[in-house]
Amino acid sequence: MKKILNVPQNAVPEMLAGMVKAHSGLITLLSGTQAVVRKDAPVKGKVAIISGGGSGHEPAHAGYVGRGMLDAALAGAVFAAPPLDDALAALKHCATEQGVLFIIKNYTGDRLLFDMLSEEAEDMGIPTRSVVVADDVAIAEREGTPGRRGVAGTVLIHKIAGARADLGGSLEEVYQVAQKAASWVRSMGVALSPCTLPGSTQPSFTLDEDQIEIGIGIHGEAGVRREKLQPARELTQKLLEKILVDLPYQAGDEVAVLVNGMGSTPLMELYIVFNEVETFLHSKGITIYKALVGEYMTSLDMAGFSITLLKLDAELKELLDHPCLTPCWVQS
Amino acid sequence: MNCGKANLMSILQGMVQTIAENEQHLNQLDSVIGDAEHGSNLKQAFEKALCKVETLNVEQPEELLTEFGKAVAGSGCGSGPLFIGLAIKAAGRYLLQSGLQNPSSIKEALRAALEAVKEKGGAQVGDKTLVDALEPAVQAFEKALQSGQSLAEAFAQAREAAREGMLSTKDLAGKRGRASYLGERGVGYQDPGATSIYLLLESVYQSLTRKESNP
Repeated sequence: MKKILNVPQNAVPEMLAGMVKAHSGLITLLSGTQAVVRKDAPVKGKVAIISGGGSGHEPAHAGYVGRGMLDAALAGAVFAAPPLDDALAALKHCATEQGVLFIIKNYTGDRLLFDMLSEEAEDMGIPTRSVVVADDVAIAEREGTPGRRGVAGTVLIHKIAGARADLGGSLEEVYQVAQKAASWVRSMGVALSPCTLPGSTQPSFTLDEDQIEIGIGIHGEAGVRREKLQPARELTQKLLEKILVDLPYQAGDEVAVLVNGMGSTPLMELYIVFNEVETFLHSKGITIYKALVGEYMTSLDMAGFSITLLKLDAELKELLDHPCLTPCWVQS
Repeated sequence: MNCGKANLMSILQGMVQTIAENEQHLNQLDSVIGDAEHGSNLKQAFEKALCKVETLNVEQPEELLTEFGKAVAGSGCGSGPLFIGLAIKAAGRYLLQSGLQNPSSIKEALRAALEAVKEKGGAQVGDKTLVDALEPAVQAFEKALQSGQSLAEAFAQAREAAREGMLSTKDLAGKRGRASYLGERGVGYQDPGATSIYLLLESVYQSLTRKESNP
């Protein structure tokens, strides 16, 4: 796989350096770490919000640092949870008297990292709350696992929590609404091709030309089962049916829809998927209040997509509509 | 047993070297069921941790071990370094109270390392994680000491039990960690975390016997 790199081992630091240079008015990198923070952090009087995880999900997570979303985004090595020392540095830099909310994707490494970070925060007297996002319905049926993965729906939780914090919500208020949104968000994804890690000569798995992986996470891993390639309509319906029954959506409900590209899927195909999503939801009497189509939480150069639905009420609609100014999500 | 600061440092150096030598092997194992970076993440964390403790001015070797564990957990990416760092830190903390000089306290320190990992991660034997290597190793170590064997012999038993535990993960479907999402599809592949534990115990054993044969 051809890639535009210098030294593969430096991919993450060089990417972060590029991001903070490209968006120097909004974000900066904490010296000696891979933690990207709001340029104006700590923001006095506001609950700070920290998220993060492995790299390779660009624009997640640093792309969502800024007004109305995150105060800090932690970046680990590709697909690996960030170092605890970086997380501590971000915590110390961003924490305010109002406290800090952690937004965590349900993966073992991320859970463990934020768990240890919470303990450190407690020792420092910083009030914190944590929201764990576990929106992937693909593996819901399997017992004895660490539970559902947190995937693209996490971006919507960043938006909701960030808006409430920007509006002056207390830690408890920010936590409550983020928790509500996390319990109302569901996702499922599909891969058409695997991804290749920087410096690796082999893709993460192999697929025949006519094969796809259904039920993928966001770490280039294989899904829960392999199927033949099928038309966008069938594929979209298959994913949506799984999502819709998981959180009973009813006729008359309003939702936010995120059709997320995994890194190498043309917008043409993502919009074809969205067209099918709209038609299908319309047939069920479900209204799309807000649509997001593009690359929000990727797996390097994997081809494929995920569909996320977030059930909405008046409060969540207001927060989704609240302005934000970050490198990769700008809304006035 | 003479386990001063210099000896412990050479054990740590041996561990760092072992992980570095096995970086690609561990990545390879991880590529099937995880994200192909376990070896690289661990290597980076161990090397950083060694640099850190080399500059520390500590008096007790036990403190060196604790700081090494803290640095592995603090500077590494991913759950591998976090869990292994946590385990080393827990062992170091136990030894800080009881001293490194007697085999029985080393036994308790290994037990503390195991309990720390199990408490944080919630994994049990059979879940296809590093616990599959660490728990039988701790048990074998305890048994060896009880039957009057030397520390080096006990480590020999421990690494052998870890090796068997590591190999047993091939037949398992993952229940914790990244491999769990593959479930039955991961059967046939050895767990990289369990492999690291075996390699580290093997390395400790090699360091101890090297010392005994070349005093």
